[in-house]
Amino acid sequence: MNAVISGRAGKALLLDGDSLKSFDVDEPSKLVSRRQSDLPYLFGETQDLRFIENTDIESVQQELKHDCDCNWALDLALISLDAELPDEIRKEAIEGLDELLADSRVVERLENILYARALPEDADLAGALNLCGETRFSNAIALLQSFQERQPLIREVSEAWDIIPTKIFGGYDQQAEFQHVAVREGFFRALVITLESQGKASSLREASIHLASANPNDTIPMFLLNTGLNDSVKRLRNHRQVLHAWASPFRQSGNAPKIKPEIEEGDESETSTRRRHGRRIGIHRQAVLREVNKKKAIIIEAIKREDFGLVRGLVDDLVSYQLSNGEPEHAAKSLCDLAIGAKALGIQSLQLALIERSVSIAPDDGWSWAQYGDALLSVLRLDDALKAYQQAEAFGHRMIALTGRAEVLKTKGEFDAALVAFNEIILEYPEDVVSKTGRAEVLKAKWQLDDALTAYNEIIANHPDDPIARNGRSCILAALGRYDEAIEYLPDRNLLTLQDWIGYHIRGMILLRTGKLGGAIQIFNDGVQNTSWPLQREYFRNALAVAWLRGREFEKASKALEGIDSPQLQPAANVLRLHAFGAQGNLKRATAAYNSLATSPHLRSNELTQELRHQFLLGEAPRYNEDWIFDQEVKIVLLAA
Amino acid sequence: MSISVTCPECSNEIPQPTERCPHCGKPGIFWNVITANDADERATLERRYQAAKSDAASRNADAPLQEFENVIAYSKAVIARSESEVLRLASSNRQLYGTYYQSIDAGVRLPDGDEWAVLRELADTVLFPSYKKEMRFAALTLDGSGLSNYGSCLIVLRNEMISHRASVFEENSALFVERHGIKISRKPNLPKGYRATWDERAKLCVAKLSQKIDSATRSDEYSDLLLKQGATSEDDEFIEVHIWGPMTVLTMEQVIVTDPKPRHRATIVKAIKAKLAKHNVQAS
Repeated sequence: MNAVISGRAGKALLLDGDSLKSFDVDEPSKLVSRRQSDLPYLFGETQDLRFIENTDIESVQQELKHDCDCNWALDLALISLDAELPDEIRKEAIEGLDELLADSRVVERLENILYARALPEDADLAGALNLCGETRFSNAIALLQSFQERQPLIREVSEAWDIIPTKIFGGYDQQAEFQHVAVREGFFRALVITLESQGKASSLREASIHLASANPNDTIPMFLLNTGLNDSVKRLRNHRQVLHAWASPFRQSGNAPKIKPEIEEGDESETSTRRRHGRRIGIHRQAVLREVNKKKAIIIEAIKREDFGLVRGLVDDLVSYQLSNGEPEHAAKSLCDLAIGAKALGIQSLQLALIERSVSIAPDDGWSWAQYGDALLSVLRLDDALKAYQQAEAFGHRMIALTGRAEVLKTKGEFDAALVAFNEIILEYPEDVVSKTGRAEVLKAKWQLDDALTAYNEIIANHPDDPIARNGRSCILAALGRYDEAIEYLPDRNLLTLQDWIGYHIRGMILLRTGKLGGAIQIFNDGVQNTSWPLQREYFRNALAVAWLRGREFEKASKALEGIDSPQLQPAANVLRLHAFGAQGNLKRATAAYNSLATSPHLRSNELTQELRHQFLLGEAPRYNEDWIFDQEVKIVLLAA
Repeated sequence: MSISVTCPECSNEIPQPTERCPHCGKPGIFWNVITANDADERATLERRYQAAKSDAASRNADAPLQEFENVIAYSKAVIARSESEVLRLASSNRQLYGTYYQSIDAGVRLPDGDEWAVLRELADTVLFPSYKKEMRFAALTLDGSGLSNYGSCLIVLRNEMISHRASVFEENSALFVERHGIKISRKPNLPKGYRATWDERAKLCVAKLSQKIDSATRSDEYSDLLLKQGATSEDDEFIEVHIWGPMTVLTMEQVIVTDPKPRHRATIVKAIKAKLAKHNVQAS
């Protein structure tokens, strides 16, 4: 059953199949049959229609009662504040209001509306409180007292809303619609309470309120996070920009370093900070920046030495320094920089730890969220990575968020979805090289070799030093048997970055394919033991398995394949498992490997897979020789890289 | 259907739906009244009216019909609304009475596929091309009774505040359009003679209702003849009033609260009455 209710009209319409029935809030048990043409008469021109799906009559009755209570509470509150009305009526209204406010949900919905605007001058709040004093209705007193105390904050929040440029909304109609949603969803109230809790409004600026004492859920970033994820708001144009513009006056004026902790007083002369009207201004930004860069360089050196105890202490010091001398976003950015450094050195756990700290310091910083997504992707926490990228987009870093999402899809093995995603990004951001290489890599993973090579060549034509494009191109050339071209730019030493290790892996595959088995196995073992990237380690395991298969060392090949867990590598690994277990006569494991390829139809129908099935599962005579099988296995591993 | 009229001030053409002459700025262009005042409309209505009079004469009902016509000249427009809506309007003379389309624009939506909403928009598009958003609806009443399905507060409007911008229509216009199978087109086949200016509303009432008046009809039956609430909305019988433009509490003459409710709403009604009294609006 579905229902439409209106608290203003005091009526509910029940829609159950073809049946239409209504009831009045005063007589909920009296159901009246209706036709569609009755609807406008039933609800008139009320503007508070609410649709409830998959419900039952008892729930509808409760919801209607609640909506009516909220409407009456609003009417009675306005009557209580109206100095034009006789005290007798106002007292009666307060009495009714008090009764309705026993339901905390009514209080919240009423405050959602009342907190959206400061009271007009002719509203008689003091008179209403006096009347409350005479009547001693505690619920009404609590509501009106809070309302009175919060008037300065309500005014500031309302004024901050009014100064948002209309063009950010898109136009006057969109502005009105946004305000309607913001009131209904309680955003005005939420911001007022956030400011009150955090002590960030201008009326509280002079107070010494330490950020640490505030509830972490009552911060502007959390306000932005919660409102930005609201489903009603997400449908509105430019919702992120609107919310940021709304909150920005409070963020600028009230961040922790500017609300002066006592301990910082003594440092002021040394940091050439001046005060005006109690606010700290004129921070010596160049000096701070130099100090920050110095601290970051020291930390990077400690990371390189893998002195993680020292790293922890130095990072604490850096964060503390930046929070004392700048915005939280600056500290978050520094942590991101350090995380990128950790990633470049292959220390994913540290990368993740630094980024998690960055996000906790500046939860509304889109860049931090994007880096968090990248760190999570590196450690194959794919669903978490998707959520992080969603946050990055919510906080304004759309391009990197979309690219990250496409990368996650690719890592999950959802190649078609990934290709669509990359194509969309390229359309939207035609200058972005990352999405172009991402697209080429998906084509490579799909075995569309000519398309992939064309894509890489196009990228290299514009970005000749792009290591991802160069490795990708080498990979395709190797798969096509053009080994001399392929190996030209591949490294064999000084492996520092992820791309260095990927190139090294490709070099090993070329050695393997050209018969240099010993050199190839050395490279693959080196990769398994020494690379810091978990995913890359699995690539080397796959390659090692091919080498063992080539040497008919099936048990070793099986063991090498045991450590491959990533979704992205499973299809290629399962083809190799079919070979390794099939050759050992372990039909159960070989069959399981073959069946697992159901989710990768392009590999299941692959000629190599069918030949392995033909030989090992069906027990038929070989149609191809071992050289052919080896050649195909090299190609599979290369193109999965 | 008028798509432009000649400005009485500057003699240039005023296009629909502008409310004032774009050339000389003369205000007060109400397209529903202009349409009702169209020569063909008036001539056709006149023929219906004369036919009704002749028929009544043949039934010896001409005297009661004339009395009915005389009484209708004092009829008023009535709107039914909820207590909350009336409280809002009564709270300030700057609170405006909205239209159906303003409600739609404000985000009110009836369920998808609602035939009534489609029908109503169709009717309004046919009847009020390009100016339907300006129209407010009411019913004609003799004694303040109204269609209480819209709300328990019946608002009777001041004739002097609407007579220059109101027109009347035979019945619920949405049902009229449906019954006559009228479709939207460049020249919708809308029968003439079913609407009138405010000053000629009695003629429309005579043309519509003469068959229900005979020599035995008493004057205390006129009110029910003019407006009768049926078992369902489709059974309602009334003359629809179309009013161009905004209304406020100062447009109201009287508010009648039907079906008074207890508790909270009783308090709200008391407040409404107190507020209305400050604006010299009767309340009962």
